[in-house]
Amino acid sequence: MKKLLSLLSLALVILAGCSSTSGAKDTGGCEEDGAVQILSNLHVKSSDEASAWSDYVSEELGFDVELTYIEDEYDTYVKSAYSSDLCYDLIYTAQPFMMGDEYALPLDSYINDSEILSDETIIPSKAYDNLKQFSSQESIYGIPNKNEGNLVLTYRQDWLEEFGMEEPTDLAGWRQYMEKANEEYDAYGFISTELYDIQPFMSTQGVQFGLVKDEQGKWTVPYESDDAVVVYDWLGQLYDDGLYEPNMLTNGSDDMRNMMMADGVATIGYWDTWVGLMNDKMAESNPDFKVIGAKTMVDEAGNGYTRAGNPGAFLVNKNTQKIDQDIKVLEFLHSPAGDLLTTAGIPGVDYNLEGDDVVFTSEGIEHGADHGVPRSLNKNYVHPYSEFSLQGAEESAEKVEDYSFIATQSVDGVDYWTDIEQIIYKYGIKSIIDPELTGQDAVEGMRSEIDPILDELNQ
Amino acid sequence: MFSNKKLLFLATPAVLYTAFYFIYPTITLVISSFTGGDTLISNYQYVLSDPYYIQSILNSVVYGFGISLFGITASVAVAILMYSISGSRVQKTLQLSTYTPYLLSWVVIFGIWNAIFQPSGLMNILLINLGVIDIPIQFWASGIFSKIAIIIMTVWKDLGYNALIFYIALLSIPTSLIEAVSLEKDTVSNKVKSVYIPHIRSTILVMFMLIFVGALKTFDSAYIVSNSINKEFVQTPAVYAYESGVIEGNTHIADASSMIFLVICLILLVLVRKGTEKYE
Repeated sequence: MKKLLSLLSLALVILAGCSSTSGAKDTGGCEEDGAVQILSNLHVKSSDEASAWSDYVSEELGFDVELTYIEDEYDTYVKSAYSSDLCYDLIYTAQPFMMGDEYALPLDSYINDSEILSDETIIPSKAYDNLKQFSSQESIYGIPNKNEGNLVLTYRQDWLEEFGMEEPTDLAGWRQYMEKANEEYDAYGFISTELYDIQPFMSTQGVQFGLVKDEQGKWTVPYESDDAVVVYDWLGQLYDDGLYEPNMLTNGSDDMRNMMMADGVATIGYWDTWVGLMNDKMAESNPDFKVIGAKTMVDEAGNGYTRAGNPGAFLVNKNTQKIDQDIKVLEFLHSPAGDLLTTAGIPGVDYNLEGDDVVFTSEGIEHGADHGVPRSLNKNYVHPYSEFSLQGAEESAEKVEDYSFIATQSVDGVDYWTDIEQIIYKYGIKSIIDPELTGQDAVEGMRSEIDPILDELNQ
Repeated sequence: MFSNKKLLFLATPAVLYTAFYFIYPTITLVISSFTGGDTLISNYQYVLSDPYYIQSILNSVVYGFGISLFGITASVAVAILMYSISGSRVQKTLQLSTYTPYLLSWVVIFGIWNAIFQPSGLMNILLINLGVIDIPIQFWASGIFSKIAIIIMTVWKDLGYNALIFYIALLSIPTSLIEAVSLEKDTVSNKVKSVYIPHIRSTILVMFMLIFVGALKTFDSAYIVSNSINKEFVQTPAVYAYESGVIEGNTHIADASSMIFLVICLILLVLVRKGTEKYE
């Protein structure tokens, strides 16, 4: 018996050690036959809808496609799928570390060979550049999914007009608007989730979110610079004066949106698409409600920075055995029919065609014309429906377009930002909620923990 | 009777199941923890030199002892109370009200606590209205408060479940014994000391070990309560491994941290076992 167990253990060790280096080609569970397997947490709203999505796309393409929808703990599921050889040929992700050889196939040659995927009017080259910068890879490891938008300072345009004020262009101006909103509507001036949303204010000092290379080519973190002190102190003063909503440690983004739509706050830092979504949502219940994104504020030298959303993309699994079909699916998603699918949804489920008119079902109305792509990358694409116009979103995006940037969060495939961001939040929030701590104390605290990370990065 | 060979044959599926679903993944985890770095032990060096990881182990030990000691005491007390009023409507109400939190998810439980302790929550409103404070207290910014909150929330959540197990153990006390003791020592404290506790001692020890191990592996509550300020004071090795492996994509680091913690857990378990031996 002992011998048997010893042999079994030895076999398992050999199996474990050699499982990925054996002579047979390791396909990570991917097969040549069967449906193209797609994984997403974004493109449908339920497993039932995923099934309808699969049927529709299969019929359009003439081969089987199967979409799996994972609502919760999506990133954990993706990782588990890889480690357990559960193959998905196409995987939606917004994780930079997944956009590399370890998980995905480089797609440069496939993009060049595709009329659709290489068409500048359908997928702007900037979207591919953003993806490369985001993943810090030389090659392109995914097909961009949507117009990711920008994080804009969103304010109540109807209130500003009522107060007879112009759109503020500096910190003092925003404070004045917030005070007025507090007086008139008993609203907070600003709300945030930790310090995720303060880039528009940092821009007034020419301070940029993320890792930034200096003139000597060394990586720096502008949020720990002396220039940022003014903003931490200004936010601290807002907090002391009761203008900064105090639940920043536990707020979620839905808290921010709900508070804005309930007249509870005058300003939020949020994605420009939500300018349109909030206006659309409030159109019936409060026709006066109107939010808009502010222009990028700049420092004395004219430098300003608006953060663009992390680019999400469909990766092609490095182990896929159906690359031709995978590319056809990706091309379809960027065709006019794909644009309609990823916005309005599935015909017969989310809408019905009456002549050329799109008539939304109750389910389609509930889904708000967002099936993974609220705003298409294709600027020539026009929705064949008048609802869900995302009023104000495009205007807000245009106001910040010239200053938009993708934040660098990982270098050479290593995520340095997760730890750095936590340190920034820790000291930044402490300085805001503790009257004894200044912005200068905050940046000094940040440097004590971030600089060793930068030293390692710059070696 | 079965022969040994037949027994071995019957046990084969279970052995294979264990081998492929437990031993094999464990071996791959061990191998993974030694790969991906410059040297065989670089993942371990990285993890052991990370002050956040060391702090997470200390946090976990605090949860282990805090939740098991406080949890056992509270649930034994509730079980004895239920036993004392056994069969009455009050006992059933008590059982239902203490058991209900066990059915709630951590998101709901934190939501309840957050509604009380967030800056705009009930506690701050009360303190401001009483004139005790002017500016709301950021309870969740305090590492000590957050840690104590995790212990209390866990004990509260599991109270009814644990109490039910002790209550069942108490029901096995022979009625004749209770009647005999009632004649001699009629106070509640006497009954608790001389009958109830001695009778459920082995159950207490088993439950202590189970709760202790569960508390060492604390994940959900620490993950939900954690924010940028209190994180180092509430984070556990389970959260550390999740963030390293899933959020940051450093699976080898996550595996090394899991291996280290596995060894620490085994050592702690042996020590706790030794410490409780004399009570058996």
